[in-house]
Amino acid sequence: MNRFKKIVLDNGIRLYVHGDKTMKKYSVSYTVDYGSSGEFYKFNYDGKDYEVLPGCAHFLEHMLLEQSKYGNLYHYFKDLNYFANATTDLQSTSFYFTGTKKVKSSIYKLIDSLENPVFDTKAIKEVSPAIEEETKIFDNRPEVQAMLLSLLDSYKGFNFEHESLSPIGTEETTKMLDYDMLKLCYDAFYSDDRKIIVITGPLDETDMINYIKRIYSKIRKHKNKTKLFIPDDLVSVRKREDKLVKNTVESDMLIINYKEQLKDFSVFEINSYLNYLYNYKFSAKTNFYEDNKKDGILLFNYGIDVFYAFQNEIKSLFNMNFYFYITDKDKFIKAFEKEIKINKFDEKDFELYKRARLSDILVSDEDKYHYYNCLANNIILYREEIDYVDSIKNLSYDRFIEFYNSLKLDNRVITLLTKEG
Amino acid sequence: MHKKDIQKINKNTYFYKDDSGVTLYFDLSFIYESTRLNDLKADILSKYMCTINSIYKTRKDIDDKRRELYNIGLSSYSSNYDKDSLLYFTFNIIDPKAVKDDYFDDAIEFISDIFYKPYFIDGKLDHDRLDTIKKDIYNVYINMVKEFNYDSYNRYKKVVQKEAISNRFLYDSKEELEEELNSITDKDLIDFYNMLLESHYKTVFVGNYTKEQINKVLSKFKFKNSINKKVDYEVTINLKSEYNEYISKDYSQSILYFTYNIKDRKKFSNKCYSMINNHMLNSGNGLLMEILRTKYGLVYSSMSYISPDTGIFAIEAYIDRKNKDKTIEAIKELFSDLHNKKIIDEKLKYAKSKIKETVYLSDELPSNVFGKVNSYIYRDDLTDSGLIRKINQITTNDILELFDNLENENIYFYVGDKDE
Repeated sequence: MNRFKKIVLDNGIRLYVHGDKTMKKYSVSYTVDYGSSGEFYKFNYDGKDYEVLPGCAHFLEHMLLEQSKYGNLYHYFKDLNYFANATTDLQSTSFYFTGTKKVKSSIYKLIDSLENPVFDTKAIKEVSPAIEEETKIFDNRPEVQAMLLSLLDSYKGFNFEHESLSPIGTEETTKMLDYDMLKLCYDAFYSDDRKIIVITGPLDETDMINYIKRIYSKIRKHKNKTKLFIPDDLVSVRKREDKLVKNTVESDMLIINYKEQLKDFSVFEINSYLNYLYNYKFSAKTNFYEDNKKDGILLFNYGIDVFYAFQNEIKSLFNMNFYFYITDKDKFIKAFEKEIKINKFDEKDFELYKRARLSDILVSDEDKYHYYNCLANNIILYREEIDYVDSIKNLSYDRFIEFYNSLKLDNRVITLLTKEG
Repeated sequence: MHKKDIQKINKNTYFYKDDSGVTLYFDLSFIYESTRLNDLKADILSKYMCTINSIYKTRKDIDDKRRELYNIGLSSYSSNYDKDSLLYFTFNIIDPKAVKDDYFDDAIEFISDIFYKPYFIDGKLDHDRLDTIKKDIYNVYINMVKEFNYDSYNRYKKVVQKEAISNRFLYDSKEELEEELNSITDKDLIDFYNMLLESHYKTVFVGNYTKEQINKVLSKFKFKNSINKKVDYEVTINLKSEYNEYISKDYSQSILYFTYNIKDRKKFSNKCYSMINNHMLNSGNGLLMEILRTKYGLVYSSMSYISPDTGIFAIEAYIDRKNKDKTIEAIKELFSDLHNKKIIDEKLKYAKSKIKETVYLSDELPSNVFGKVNSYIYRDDLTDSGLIRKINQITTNDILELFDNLENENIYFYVGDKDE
């Protein structure tokens, strides 16, 4: 398993480096804690309040490298046979590549492009059409839209809501993004304390750290002058709600979203115990699943997602979404709510779960580069200070019960996605 | 992965020692006559065997045992061609050394139980389980063929195969599928199982196995007949030169879909076709992105497919419906580039360097190694060194000839009409 050396640079940027001479490729990622979710839409920057449209983080993700001082940096990377891409999720934007040659100069170009953007109105016009098409992808995928819908629900009550179901905006909002708004978002959120760089490969760690330090010695510091509007009570600010959304699904899809905050549990524990809760109560091997299928109420389940809000500020706030394809909403919700509140578990089963989870981790670690997929966020969330295998062994049944008893299972939003017409 | 490292243990059994990961892969395959009904039986039976058993009588029993054995992997799938179909059972075992638990014998005993002790009690199967499996197959199928499917692979199956193979793989209606599912009796499935026992095709091991471990497995799985037969993977599809339009009120985005028959599909090996497709057309530096996205800004997403098995070349572009004519023009420009010696020269050079690096890096992931060993053993596909040799021989003229020899242009336009 990769172990990272962590350095905080003078400007506050967090750098994680891991050298492994058996690796054939280098993998590099640059992440900024600025994503597409609601809390980034309204903010105070340098003493003034602002409100922006959805999609700014994602638009910047495209523009910073596609319209860099080196031209389209992806073309340069591709000429070097790299795999290169960028993603915007709710909490962060990541730029990354893997490749074998000229890695140091590519790291320089990546950092230089992101720290010294050159985009202008003309560049925005060039990038916009492809993004306008990209926004429609969500419209074509009801299941993805369902997840996004729940995600947006997570932020209800304390910040910005937009009728768009897509956190990357719509065709219309994309067209409305202009230079001033994008520049404002860049200045407000690409501050050094929000940035994380992760580099792995057949490298010498000290040498690489010194190289990054040298690059940043010539780049001006980007101080954080931004304040987000985050309420004190993050959970109950959202109201319990049942709603119905018409969409293009073949069968009705039900999304049950709970919002919780558990201050005494690590993200690793929350993730593991929730995973177990779902497996034990609702997965395809359970009586709940079989019985409800047999009764014709449940068609099949679509899994669980856990999303952590404000990962840097408050790691313990999270949303869990359960997805099911169902035929009878009222009967299913009744059965689900009854099941989730039954405080009865099996210690032997919990031990079996630990074995299965250990196996999953060992298999995922077969891919030495899965960190480039996980990127900085997962390292920070799950792996920064812990040895994963030992941590799994240390999960305990008693602690799980404590976790379960700490869940309020009260603040929930239920969304039914149902066929139009 | 090198050919010389694949050991032939006996007539139909192969082993490739790979010590880079923790997974011990082991698969068994069986050959049967390819008919739609047989494929359905194979699907039902293999799912049944992996979820209920005469020792482990419920799905939960099987699942608990799997977890006790460090999530031992049981999976099955079938590949269907014109004359023969293959049913594979794949088992993944976590190397006992990695978990410091000497459980290998238990794991093999369990796999053997799964395979040899299906739940056939007095000629009857468990009908609760069977009904659930049939329902699942039905639901998956219905989802797969729904009218306006945005999943590329399924759409490809629906559009190309349904038109061309006259329902060999697909059903005309939900009722027809339901009827066929219901027509399969317990006796049919038991007979099919007994037929499989007589139709062993190949056994493949990949991973850091010891000799003793392999011998233990082989002593459990002895087949009287192992069939030596070359499977014909080709399917014949003759497209019609025509234009079709489908309208959907469900979606706002449209798809333009161009398909062609490749005149000489044997011109290149599978892997060479995939290099041409992945690195000359599809990659970020490929012609599709270059023209449709970078030059004209018509798409965010566009893909091409080359399938030597079906002899089909296809291009798809996700567009705004109002850009249909512009996109058709852009695709014509793309085809003109595919006939341009200078452009093909440059793209081929890039693709060759890219594929060499891909091959060099591909052994780092054990599951890739397993896939490569299997494609060599089952499909006589090129090994790494063979592939490098072959791609070095491909010339610009070869590629020009490939695109010169596309025929039967068949265009589908899926019109997303949601907001109109």
